[in-house]
Amino acid sequence: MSTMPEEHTRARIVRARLIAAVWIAILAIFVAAGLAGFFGVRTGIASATSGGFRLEVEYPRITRSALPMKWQLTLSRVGGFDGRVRIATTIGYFELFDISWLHPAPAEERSAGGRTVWIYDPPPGDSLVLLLDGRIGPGLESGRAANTAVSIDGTRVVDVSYETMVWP
Amino acid sequence: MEIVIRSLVLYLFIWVLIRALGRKELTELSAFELLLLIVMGDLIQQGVTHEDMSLTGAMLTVSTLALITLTSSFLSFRFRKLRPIIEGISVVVLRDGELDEAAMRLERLTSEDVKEAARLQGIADIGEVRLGVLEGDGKFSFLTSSGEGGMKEQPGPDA
Repeated sequence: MSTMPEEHTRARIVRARLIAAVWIAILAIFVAAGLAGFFGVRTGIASATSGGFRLEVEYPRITRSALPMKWQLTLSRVGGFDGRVRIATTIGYFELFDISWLHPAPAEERSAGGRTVWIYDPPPGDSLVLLLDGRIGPGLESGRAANTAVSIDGTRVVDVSYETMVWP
Repeated sequence: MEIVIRSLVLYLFIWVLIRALGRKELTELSAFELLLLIVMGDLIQQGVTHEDMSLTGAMLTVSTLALITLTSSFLSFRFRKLRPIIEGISVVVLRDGELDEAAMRLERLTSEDVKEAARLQGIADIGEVRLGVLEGDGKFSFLTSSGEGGMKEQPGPDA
């Protein structure tokens, strides 16, 4: 039995090269998208102002699984705070993360109405800054949307919505 | 973005390192060189992926390395002047049965290295060899004076 390879027409060889060229183009686009930061890591800032309060949340907008992340909330009000600050965030959102620590630690923490609730005693000064450190949990997550709302003594004063997209 | 740049930089670094090691080492690894390559692989992986254990990160790294390989292959094909830099050059180390000592010294080859390569190709006497060449990829080619079989390629490790 002959071991000679099958002879192909020039048209077939050209077609095979074209298919290879298409694959290379796809590869190049994928790498270019990576260079442009399409797959993260990108940080987003969601902010809102209402009733003299300004709420700003810095969050991972596009990221990948198992990478370090930073979530930071800054609440400010000229004249300071005169009541307990209640910060409530969509409960499923923090399931995206393996959380290392939250600073400062809340006076109270609980889950209520589908939200993770942190309660702080009136902070000194004009602003309260919360920093959450951790990393994106491993796995095939696609991302989560969240809403963070701030209430002072039971009255909602300001809230922001944002979304984190996670590439596997 | 970072992971693509890290892949690119470390690929170029390894390429320079392997070129600096010399062609002989490409096919004949001493214990130290084997150790270096094994350890290097592990260290390079950490340098490229850092803390990134994601599927996307792994795909980006591999895609970047594949594209660099394709690009260097294209550059070598398209620009003749780049070919020696990218692929290395062939050096004649044996001519009409005589070893070229100067060329061998430059390539850090001993006469035993050349004799061993010849033996592996079934050549009993280097006097039979019209031309012995150390190719750019570190393999030896021998053209015997009988002319039978033409250029003989040194079998690869899987042969």
